[in-house]
Amino acid sequence: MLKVESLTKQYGSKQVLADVSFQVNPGDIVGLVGENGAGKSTLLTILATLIQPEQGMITYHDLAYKTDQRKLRQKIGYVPQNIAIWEEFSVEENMVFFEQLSWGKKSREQLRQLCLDMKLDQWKEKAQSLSGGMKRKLNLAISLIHEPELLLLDEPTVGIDLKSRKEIGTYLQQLAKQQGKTIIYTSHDMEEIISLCDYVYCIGNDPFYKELLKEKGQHIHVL
Amino acid sequence: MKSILLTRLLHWRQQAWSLLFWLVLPMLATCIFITTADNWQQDTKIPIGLVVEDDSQMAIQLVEAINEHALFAVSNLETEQALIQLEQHQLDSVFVIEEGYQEHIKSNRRNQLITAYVSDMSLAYTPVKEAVASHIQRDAGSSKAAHTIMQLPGQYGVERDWSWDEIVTTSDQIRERESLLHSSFSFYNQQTKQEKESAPPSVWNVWGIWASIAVLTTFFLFDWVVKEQRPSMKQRLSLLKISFKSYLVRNGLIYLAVLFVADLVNSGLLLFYFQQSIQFDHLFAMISFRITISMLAFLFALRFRTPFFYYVAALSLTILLGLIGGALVPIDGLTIMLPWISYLSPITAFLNGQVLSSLFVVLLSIFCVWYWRKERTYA
Ligand SMILES: Nc1ncnc2c1ncn2[C@@H]1O[C@H](COP(=O)(O)OP(=O)(O)O)[C@@H](O)[C@H]1O
Ligand SMILES: [Mg+2]
Repeated sequence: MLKVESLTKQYGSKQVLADVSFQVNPGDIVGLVGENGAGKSTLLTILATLIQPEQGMITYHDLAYKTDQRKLRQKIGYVPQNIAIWEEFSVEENMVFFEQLSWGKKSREQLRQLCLDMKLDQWKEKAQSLSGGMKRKLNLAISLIHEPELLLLDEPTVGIDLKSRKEIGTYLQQLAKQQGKTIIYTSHDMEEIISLCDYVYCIGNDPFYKELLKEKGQHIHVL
Repeated sequence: MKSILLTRLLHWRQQAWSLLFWLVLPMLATCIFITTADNWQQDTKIPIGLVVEDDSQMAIQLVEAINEHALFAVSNLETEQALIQLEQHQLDSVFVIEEGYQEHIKSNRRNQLITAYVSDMSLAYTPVKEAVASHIQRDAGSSKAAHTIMQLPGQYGVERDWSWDEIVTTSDQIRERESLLHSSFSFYNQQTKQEKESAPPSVWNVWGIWASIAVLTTFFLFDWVVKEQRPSMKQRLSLLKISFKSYLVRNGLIYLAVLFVADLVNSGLLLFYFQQSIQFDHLFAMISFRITISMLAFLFALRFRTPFFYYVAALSLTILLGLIGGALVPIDGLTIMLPWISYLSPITAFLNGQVLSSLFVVLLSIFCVWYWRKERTYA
């Protein structure tokens, strides 16, 4: 269980997260919504151990973020909002590159299967010639090589076609429901949020998302 | 380390040719630059004709002196042929060392020692004439001194007779010993006399040019630091088994190892190409130089987020280091006014054969501070 208590983050004098508390159970898919600049990416990078909050306490099961960073990183799969792949590498080379430096060993066949699971089948193709949707899938696949338990996905489906979006969605649902992974992800696509998420956290005071999701019968908590 | 090497090889497979190009460029560019510059110098020599009608020792010495002169391309000819070539403007001017040259000088008659022929195209006649005249002046001067000294015993009643030859030889020996005109362009200033005579060194500093280009290519080779620390990739690389800093440092060491090998190959080929005219007795200075400029490029690249600005800044810094290092053009004015400034250039340390330079120590300290300083993450 991921537990966040009284989290505060500011850049200089700019307060981004103010006293945020929530918790997420294993097997849950949680949506994170809010207008641009609300602090969604900031929250995810803190949860990915990449930046430090000013205040607050975070624990994942019995691991404390303040002291167990290395152990946490083995369990975390973080997908950055901006695609982070080697454009001049093939899909295969990208997977092999990150497998080499990753926490667990995987055979080439296993890596290929991981891509196929999310319907990414251009194994030998250069990343730069992939479509936007396929690049997003590769961006996601790389983060899953070490089989993380806690998935933090920053707009994993932004700007891609409906088919790829559905394929990614189906795959995430499998991970949560069949393998008990915890998934927190951000998106601006309300349809997707409604069909995928167990519940939604909204950052910021904008009543827009609250009204919108309430209408559709979605559980929403304001952070 | 094996997995880091494997991941680096994946990168190098994409850029094999450009990698190879940057690795051999210092050697290649040095050879091309110096060969071109030397040829150009050869082409701009003034062609003069020399006719020798006197076979005395003094005449031979004069011919040698003119032959060695850096400005002249000398053809030794017969008068008739020389004049034909002069007419056809193949020669700038023709100088005839007349018969009895030595005799005339010995007897202190200084007219008609040399006859000069010029054409209406002889642009270089005056400098040529002056250069020739200065050689004659030297011989005539020694001769005149000898005559004076030989007359002294008679005047003051000293019981010692010096021959004319003795006096001239002694004065030539003194001149040779005191000569300040020989300057060495070789690395280390340790060139032996034989080598200086067997192959006149190029006026260009081979190792200085090599070192300057090596600085530039090192900067360009380390552009991966800029590219691989772009924010999203840095985030991804930070969550791996090794820390991001460790990822950078290990890759830096791989580059360093490859550059060491490239340096050895480069200097081997340079020695082969320039044969006797350069020397290589500075292996440890070169290793130190390589580590210094690699650290410099690494730390410098860490400050940049965009390759373009990195390239521009690296190019400017290289030119600056080349200038203050005195490798490209000697700027004595600046280095005399600010002697410490040359110590800021790794090229100076390398050319002086220094193994432990002040810059090396400074960069190593900065590197250590960077490596052990904590980032704003959970430690
Ligand atoms: N490294 C940073 N330095 C300063 N301000 C930042 C930094 N990262 C984000 N911010 C600011 O923090 C706010 C939240 O950003 P972000 O978390 O990216 O929002 P979101 O992902 O919800 O669009 C924005 O106003 C942004 O300008
Ligand atoms: Mg964002």
